[in-house]
Amino acid sequence: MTPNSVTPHAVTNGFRFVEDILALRDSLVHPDEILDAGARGLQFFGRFHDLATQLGFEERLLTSYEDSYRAEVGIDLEALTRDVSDLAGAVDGSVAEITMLTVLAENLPAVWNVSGVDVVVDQVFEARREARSDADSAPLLIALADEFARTVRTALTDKAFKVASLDRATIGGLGVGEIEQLTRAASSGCGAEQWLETVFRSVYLDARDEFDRACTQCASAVGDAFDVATQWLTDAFPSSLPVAEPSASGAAASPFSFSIGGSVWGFSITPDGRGVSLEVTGADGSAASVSVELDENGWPRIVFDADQETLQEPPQSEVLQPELPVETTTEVSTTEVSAAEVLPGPEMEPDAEPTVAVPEESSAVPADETGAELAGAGPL
Amino acid sequence: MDVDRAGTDELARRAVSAAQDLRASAEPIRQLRFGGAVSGRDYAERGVALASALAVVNSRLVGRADFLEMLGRRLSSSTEAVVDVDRAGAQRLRGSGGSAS
Repeated sequence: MTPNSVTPHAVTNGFRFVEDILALRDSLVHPDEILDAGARGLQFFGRFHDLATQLGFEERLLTSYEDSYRAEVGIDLEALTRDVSDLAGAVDGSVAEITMLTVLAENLPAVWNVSGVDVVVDQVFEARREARSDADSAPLLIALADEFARTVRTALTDKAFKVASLDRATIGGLGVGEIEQLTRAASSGCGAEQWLETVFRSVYLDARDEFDRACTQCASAVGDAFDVATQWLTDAFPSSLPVAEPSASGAAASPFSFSIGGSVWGFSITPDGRGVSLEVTGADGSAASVSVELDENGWPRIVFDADQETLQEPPQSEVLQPELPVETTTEVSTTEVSAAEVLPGPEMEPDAEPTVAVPEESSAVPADETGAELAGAGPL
Repeated sequence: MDVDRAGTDELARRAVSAAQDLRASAEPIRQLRFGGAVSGRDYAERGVALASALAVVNSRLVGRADFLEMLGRRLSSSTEAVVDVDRAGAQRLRGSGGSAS
């Protein structure tokens, strides 16, 4: 038999008194250590589970108690704290970014006086609003992580304390060996049934109820902590598209999914936020995904992934860009256009007189140099 | 011709520089440590959701860096295009015997 928390000789933690466990609420110990501290309570089931099963009022497996108790094992609060610290640090750089966006917003109309610049300026203002919002929320990220960690540690400590309190070597003053003798006596009709029913059964089931309550309350508190933290982040840092994170199984979750012809098409942002991904899963379970993402040089590249084989294509000529106004050909005259119309000086309005006098018959721009070409001088 | 090329160039240069700074800030948070695998045995799904919400912070920074960089490039290409058009116009005027003021 492999020693575990329910076998008495497996518990070697340093908490001599159950009350000592409560001090872990305000500590920085790893959550797994908190669970270990309360695991001594599982010995109760290790001692009496077989007898209860034998007497017919225990239907669960002994291992189920260990499984239920350790539902939170592996939670890494330090990883979360470090991530949040890094995130807050990254957003701290927004101060310079906000300044730059302000400069752009104030100067673009003057130096880039073309049709559609208002839309660009609006986008700059929106980017500045977003940057300011991020900067305002960044300090709260740390508080959020602290509160999350505190809630989880408190919930685990409470569970550990309650479960550890269940530990006892005797029931009604009788140890396991004596209760075994009573059980044998009862099975041979020697009259121990009443004690087993009124004392042993009652105490065992009460302990089991206490154990269940402790686990349920802890799961509820930890689950709520996750939900509250996630909701706060979603409100503080909204995304136009959900970001797909690999699931526990390693498969990427696709927030937007469509069922087409028996296949599931999922669209999502790549986990690192540098591109978008389209995953197609066939009815036979086969899957393939195509991602368009930016490489280390900022060039877009297409990554095809099917059955573990990845094919990377060279950079494409079409660059994914945010929406910006497009200077259409109808806005640029092929006979009267001048550079000043494309990019007037700071004081000029789009309808102002051009500073370069171009005779009509000289045709400053040839017929083949149309708006499509000149549009390159505009915002887009 | 009255084009604030120097001002536009400066704006473009600063926009690209700010974008690079922003991208550098976002780089350390491209890969998060927290996720479904370290959120507790029975909380993988919730851990994924929390990590996804955290990852949005990075995507917002990268998105704004992309926007600034693209804006800087367009500003820069605008001034080059204007100069090209201006130069071509001047050559045509000279070729046709006109004059530019």
